[in-house]
Amino acid sequence: MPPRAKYLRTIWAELARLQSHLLWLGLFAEAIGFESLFMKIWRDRELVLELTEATNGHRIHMGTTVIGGVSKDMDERLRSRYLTDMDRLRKEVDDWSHVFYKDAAFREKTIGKGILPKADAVHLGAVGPTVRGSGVLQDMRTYGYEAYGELDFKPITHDGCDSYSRTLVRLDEVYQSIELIKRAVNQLPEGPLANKNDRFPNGVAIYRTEQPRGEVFYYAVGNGTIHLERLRIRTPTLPNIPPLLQMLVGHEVADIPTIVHSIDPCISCTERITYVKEAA
Amino acid sequence: MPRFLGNILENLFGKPATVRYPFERPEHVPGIRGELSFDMSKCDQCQDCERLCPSGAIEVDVEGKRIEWNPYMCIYCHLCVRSCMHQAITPLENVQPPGYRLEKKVFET
Repeated sequence: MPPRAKYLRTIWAELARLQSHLLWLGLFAEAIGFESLFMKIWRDRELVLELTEATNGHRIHMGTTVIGGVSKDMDERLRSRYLTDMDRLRKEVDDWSHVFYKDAAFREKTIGKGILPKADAVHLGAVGPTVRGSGVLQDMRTYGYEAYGELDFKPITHDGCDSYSRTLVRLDEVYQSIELIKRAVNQLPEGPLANKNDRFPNGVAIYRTEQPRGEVFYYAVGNGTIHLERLRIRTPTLPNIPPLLQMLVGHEVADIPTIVHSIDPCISCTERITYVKEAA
Repeated sequence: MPRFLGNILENLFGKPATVRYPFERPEHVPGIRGELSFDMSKCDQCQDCERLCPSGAIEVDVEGKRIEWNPYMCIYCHLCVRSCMHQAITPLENVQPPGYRLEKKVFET
């Protein structure tokens, strides 16, 4: 893949992470009872969505990744807008992040709730911020796919094993994503956007990437025709459900919303099985 | 408390974060993926757009030389715009407004 396409994919992946984490922080704040904090976070999320819209034409689903590269480019004006908007977003996040770090009511509702010990997190196969909140260093970005290998990326972990440390992982990742985007925009190399590819895939491919909610797993088998023989997508909510059942044991009913929220569940993502019946 | 007070003052005298939608409309950014418009003088009814469309929003009538596009089924991915050999599909820079009836848009020569 051309290096410019790698960097652009990284920038957009981090933008997607920003919007997902800001959405989650807002929802989590609301689940705990901070209604106006929820509004404030979602207002700041709008900055990210507008930036996405200006580059990709869509606000959430970007639809810019094509086989062998990307389909949209970023000009000089957009690059400077990215840098100024990221600085602005950082200031806005500073404005409310102290609530998550220091507020007594918030800490009361999250510290010691939804405990997932390190050994259980590994044993039950948790992924993403859920497993990093239990102190396990597991992040697909450390393998350096796309441009992450060149951006001096270090994953964030917290050792609390509870809802609070899972929140902190996401909040720190917001700051980290802002830095990563700025670094990638500054280092953006020149070059073509996509390699031309006019053959149908033949062979087996396995690919793991880090989505906002955790590791996503793709398995594809091609047979040289226009149709794939097999495709399996495992989204991060599915492996996070067994740890959730473990977390819920021994808590009060009032704690359930925050514990369920703390894995960032996306139930619609889990239904990914399509069974195609072969003709006899 | 001082931080709290600043916030209150900002909310009292500051600008609202949202747009008063029916009275004023937000500016659409250039490059937004908007409605499709088919140029039938360039189109040769190859049906590439119909075959590629993930949501099945485009129907090409080869004999009648007309295209029906369903804006409510379209997911605005613009695969058709990228795939059209003759550049017969030009996207408009707008957002499809909500409607009362599920009407298809018809493009004829």
